[in-house]
Amino acid sequence: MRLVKNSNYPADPFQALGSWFNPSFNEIFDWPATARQAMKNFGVDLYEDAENYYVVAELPGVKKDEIGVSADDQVLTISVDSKTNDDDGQTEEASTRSVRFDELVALDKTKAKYEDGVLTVSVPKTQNAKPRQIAVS
Amino acid sequence: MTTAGNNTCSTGSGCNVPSAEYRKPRYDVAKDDNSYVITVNLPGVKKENISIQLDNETLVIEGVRQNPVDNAWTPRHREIDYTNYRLKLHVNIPVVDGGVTATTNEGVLVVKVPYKEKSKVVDISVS
Repeated sequence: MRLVKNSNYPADPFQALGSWFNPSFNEIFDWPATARQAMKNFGVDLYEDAENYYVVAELPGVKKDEIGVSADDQVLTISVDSKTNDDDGQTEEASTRSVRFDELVALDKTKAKYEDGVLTVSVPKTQNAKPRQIAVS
Repeated sequence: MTTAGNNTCSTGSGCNVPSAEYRKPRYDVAKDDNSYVITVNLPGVKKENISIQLDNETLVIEGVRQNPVDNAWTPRHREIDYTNYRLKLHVNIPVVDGGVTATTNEGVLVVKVPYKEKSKVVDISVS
């Protein structure tokens, strides 16, 4: 399981990729970050247990209907298309994060929950991906 | 309106917990006709876990995060900081008593701080 950044994958599948301007980069340099800017590169966590993979995304201020979760082949994509109205008119912001699974997952059985600006997507592992105990006879 | 004490919590009021357990959330401050509007990103914080206190000239906003992550899950990649939030703002304007209102939606808190009108500038014509 790894985050997808364009089409280049690093050798280490668990290396933090994000984007050029990922949150940690911003924090190091303490760039002025306002509430609205925070959305441009939303943070993503990846977890797993025996049954599922979990993708957690932080999307403060995004409405439920502005979030899209799609699955194609072994890639899960979370996309956000948010519109904000202000004095200058309407601003539209779109951003996407993708996760590629190295092993077979049941993307058709993916479940997503959105609460207080945090999206949690669970992707069940297929039988093949689960660790199996093989009895020695 | 300025940030008081940055991320660290000095020995002022409302400092019962070590500062290491808090971090400053991202926020905006805007001004409209009669109030300051403070927008604070508090993702993962439920409405009942937000506290807002205005003590003299200090506005303290705190949010305790509800962690969606089960302890049994094995982390594979982490970007999200699950530390609780604290924002301390110095309010250097007279605020309308009991006039502060707050709403929260999708992890974003909006606090309206109505301020008292200063004496208006009056043009006096010389006759």
